[in-house]
Amino acid sequence: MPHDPNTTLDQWADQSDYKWGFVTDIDADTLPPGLDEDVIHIISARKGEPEWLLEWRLGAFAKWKEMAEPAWAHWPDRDWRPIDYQAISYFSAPKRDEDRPKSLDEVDPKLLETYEKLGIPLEERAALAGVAVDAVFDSVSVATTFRDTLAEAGVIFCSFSEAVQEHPDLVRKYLGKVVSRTDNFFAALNAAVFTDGSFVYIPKGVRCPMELSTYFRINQMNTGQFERTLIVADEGAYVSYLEGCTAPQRDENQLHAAVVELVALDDAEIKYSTIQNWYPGDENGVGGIYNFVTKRGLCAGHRSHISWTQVETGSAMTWKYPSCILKGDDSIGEFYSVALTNNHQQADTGTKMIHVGKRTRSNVVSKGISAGKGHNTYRGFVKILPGSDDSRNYTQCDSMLMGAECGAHTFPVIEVENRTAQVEHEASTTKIGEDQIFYCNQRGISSEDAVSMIVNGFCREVFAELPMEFAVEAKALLAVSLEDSVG
Amino acid sequence: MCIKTLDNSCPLCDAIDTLAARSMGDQRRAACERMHELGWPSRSDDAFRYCPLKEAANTNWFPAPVADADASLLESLDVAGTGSRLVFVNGRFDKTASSPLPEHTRLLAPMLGDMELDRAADFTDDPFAQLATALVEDGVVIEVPDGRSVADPIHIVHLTSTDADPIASTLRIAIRIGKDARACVLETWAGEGPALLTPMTEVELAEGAHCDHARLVEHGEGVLHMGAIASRQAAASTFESVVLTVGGQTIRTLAHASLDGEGAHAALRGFGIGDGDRHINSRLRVSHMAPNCTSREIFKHLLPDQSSAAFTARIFVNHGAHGTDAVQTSRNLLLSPDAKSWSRPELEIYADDVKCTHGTTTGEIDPAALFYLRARGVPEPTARALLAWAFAAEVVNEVPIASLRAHLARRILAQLPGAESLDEGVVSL
Repeated sequence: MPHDPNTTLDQWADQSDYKWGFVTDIDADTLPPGLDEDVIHIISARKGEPEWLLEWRLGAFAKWKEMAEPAWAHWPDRDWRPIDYQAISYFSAPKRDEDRPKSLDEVDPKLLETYEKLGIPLEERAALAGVAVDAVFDSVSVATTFRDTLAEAGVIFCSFSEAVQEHPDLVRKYLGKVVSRTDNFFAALNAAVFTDGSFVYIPKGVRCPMELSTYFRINQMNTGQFERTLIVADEGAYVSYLEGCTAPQRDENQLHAAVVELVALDDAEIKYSTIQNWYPGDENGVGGIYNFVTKRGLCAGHRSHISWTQVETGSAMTWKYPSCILKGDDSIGEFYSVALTNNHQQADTGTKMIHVGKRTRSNVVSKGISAGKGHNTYRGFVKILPGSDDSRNYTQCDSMLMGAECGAHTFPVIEVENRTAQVEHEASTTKIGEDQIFYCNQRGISSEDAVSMIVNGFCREVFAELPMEFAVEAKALLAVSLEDSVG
Repeated sequence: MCIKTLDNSCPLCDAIDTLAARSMGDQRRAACERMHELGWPSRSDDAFRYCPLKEAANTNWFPAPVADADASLLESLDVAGTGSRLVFVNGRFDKTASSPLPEHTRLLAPMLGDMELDRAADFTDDPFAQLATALVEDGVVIEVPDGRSVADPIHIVHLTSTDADPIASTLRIAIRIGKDARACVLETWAGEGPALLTPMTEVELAEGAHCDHARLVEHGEGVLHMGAIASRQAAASTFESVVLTVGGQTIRTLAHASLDGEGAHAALRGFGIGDGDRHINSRLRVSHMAPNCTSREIFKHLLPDQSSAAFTARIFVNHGAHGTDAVQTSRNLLLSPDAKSWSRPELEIYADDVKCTHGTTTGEIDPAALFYLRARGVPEPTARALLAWAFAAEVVNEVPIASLRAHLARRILAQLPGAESLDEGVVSL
């Protein structure tokens, strides 16, 4: 049932065969807060989704209602602001231009100052601050240029809604195959109510000609709290995908529960890089975003390769465990992470490496930096199944503490059920020594620069995995995030 | 353990009731109630995720009967160089089999109710620790006054003995060492099952005190050994503990070490060797509560057949515990395709001037090392045994008492496939 996205709810209700008795007199573009089956029917219908997808969403919702909010997390010194799932509006059309700031003059000067420090180009600053995009630069032309290049290579890169309409078979084949719709509390919620996201398909043997970035999809930026990304790399394909950007984004939502699924077939490689810098709350820990994300990659084919790289500096609370299921023989999973917490932030992040196939390898490098009253937790899971002969895992997680009130925690789980496996885990905790700072000061380097330098050295192994421009931005971002935390 | 709520027909609950009428009434009843609240653990319970307790859950446990020590078994457990031997059978003192009580040592039985137990750690979430309190009938109390030291190691031997019924019993060992005082305590746990044993050792060390402690688990088949060790240390004290497992069905060690005073040092070591489907489970917590304390944890397992080992350990560093130096290591050698190992080395750190490291490795015997030895004419079974022994030696060599080291080496070598071909000189101790 194709739908014109401009149809208002009422118009749609009139013309569709909607039979669930939903009666409303609300603004056509936004649903009132609350979550029930009707809301899911509306989201699905509004996006003109096929019947199977609606059923899929409803199945997830039914299960979600039976699930309990997870309570295993470790959150010292922080009050848990309960999430009121009935207070969230689960569908809102992208903001109309008249609601946005008209120009940069209306934007919070503090935000602009940060952009300045990060060296973000002028045009982009406006876009990031939520200024109506069309007023700034022509997003359509940018979109068209990169789309042409990709189309030539046969790569599909579009919004999830478009993919559902244009490539339903591909979506249906892979959706929920890596992160099932009932995987966990937040994944189930996402499956029930996701509104949009990205879809990428790289055909057989194609090396994607450019780094794909959500940032290009600037016109669809407001995909909201429940984003869903699905990337499929067919046999022998390669893609590098960048998510997020270094600049703090304007956002009023409390909860972000995204789901990312990656599928790599024989000989395929997916490199997924994230920079997350959502609003972390103020210095006193008031406000800020809960970033509860489910990310998982399936190395379905032999010799496939999935690599996760992340730089997490934002959000009040992050629970995020990008994982790899190494099903194909000789497949490789990698996880490189830098997580920085300052003020009252808490990051609970890590990875799961499930070794199923023979001769599979995984490499985990996690760097946690805690400053102020921040807490950083590495939570990892490495499992070698009985059939996974000659597999290897190496995990290294290092923590750096800055200040007497922060915390660094490490909770790894290592399960080995095959004797030919070689599994190693190492962790260390360090701090920036006064002698190190003194040494730098003596050579004319300010304390702030010294900290930045030492932290960057600490994170070098992870930054080396980032695409070049991203790495440069990430370094600047760490420096900005650590401002005033020493001295 | 009774898992049928507070069913009056449970023989174990009846026994606890009877004991409660005699001594520690409120404490026993509270522990029993807490135990029922917690219920018999299942795998969905995170603390018992790897523990195979299902079969035991359906067992109806009976209070252990009065029995005599098996003389030949006792002889085989003898460790040369120990000053005294105190023998307990099914949780009760066997005077005839024991040597006279050494200096500063008393039996717990006459003091039950007068002596405060469970002071060294809070095990309120562990059903087996609750059972240890509810069912306690006897034990050893070692109280060394300030500045004194007990010259010879005190050897405590506990045997289980049952005709057919599955029995449950416990023994309490309380070690309290005064300022700058010193003692060495060796525990041996042996005997056949079906038995559920909940040994509890609590250690309190005053300033500058030193305690060497070894727990040797040499049970026969069918013994479920759910033990605990709690220690609390004042400034500059030292606690050196080692748990060695060479027997039993499921052996769980719950250990909490609390470093309360500045400059205290704790070392928790463990070595276990699997056999059949034996499961060795170590659950440790070292709390650094004061500045400049050091701790070392090293646990190693040799796992043949279908045996498995689980290691869960947490280093906790409190706010202000600066200068902490903590190391946590777990190593597992899988000797068969069916052996399994699970490790959870955890750090929880709230202070910035600390040095904490942990490492865990799991794998099989290094083929390169094996090749090296074979290239030099060492037959493969001998080479394997030699490498396995070298793996064990790192823990065994740290055991403080020479005669105990030799005793342990013999126990390990007796269980190591191919070890009979090893030259005596190779394992010189």
